[in-house]
Amino acid sequence: MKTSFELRNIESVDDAVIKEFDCGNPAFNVFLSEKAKDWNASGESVTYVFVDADEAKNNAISRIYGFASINALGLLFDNGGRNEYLSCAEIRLFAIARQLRKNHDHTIEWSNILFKTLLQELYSMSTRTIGFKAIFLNANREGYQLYKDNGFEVISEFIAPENDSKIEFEDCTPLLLKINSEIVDKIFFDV
Amino acid sequence: MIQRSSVIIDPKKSKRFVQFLNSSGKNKEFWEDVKKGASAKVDKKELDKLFEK
Repeated sequence: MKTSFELRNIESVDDAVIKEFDCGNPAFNVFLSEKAKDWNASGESVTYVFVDADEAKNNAISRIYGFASINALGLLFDNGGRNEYLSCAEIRLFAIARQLRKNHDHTIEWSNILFKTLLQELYSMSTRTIGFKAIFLNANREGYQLYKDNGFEVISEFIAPENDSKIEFEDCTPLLLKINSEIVDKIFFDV
Repeated sequence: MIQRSSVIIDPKKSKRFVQFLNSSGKNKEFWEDVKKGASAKVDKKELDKLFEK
């Protein structure tokens, strides 16, 4: 039997299922089980979890395969003497279940499937829910190649030094993916 | 965690940043590839096996 992944707001998942999730990083696990819903409520970020599409359809979510926390971000820059603001969605956190990690030596690139699911959702949001022109994230060493393989570009050279204190994680590289607003949205919907 | 809602581009590099923005941006083929990857069907049994304790 085949299935696919879907993103759902963490609010729609039982706490018991959330607590079962393990990405192998204790800080991320604690965030998901103890902080994510509070951050939703305060507007700090909204956390979405990857679930089985069939389970989601039947309101019977029994497992989380990964999660992503998203918030709004602005990139401020000078464009020929005019202050401009590039609206972005920031992927604040992204993690997949340790059972799906690459070192389990299987041929399916689970992280790629989940990340593309996220990208598709963000694209849809950018044109249907809240407008933004780019997706930003701070990549740690572990996730860096996945993001680069999915079209993100390094922008660390452009960032003003005074932003360094705002970077939350050490050894992270700021990356950006610009969404082309001219792309017709129809490709994601059956007409 | 430190909260921030904006990132500032170094004014000395803003011209190059604008050039970077103008030359980057994803096309229709990119997003079709994303859609294809996102809609990949996975074998439920194989998935369940990975989570067996």
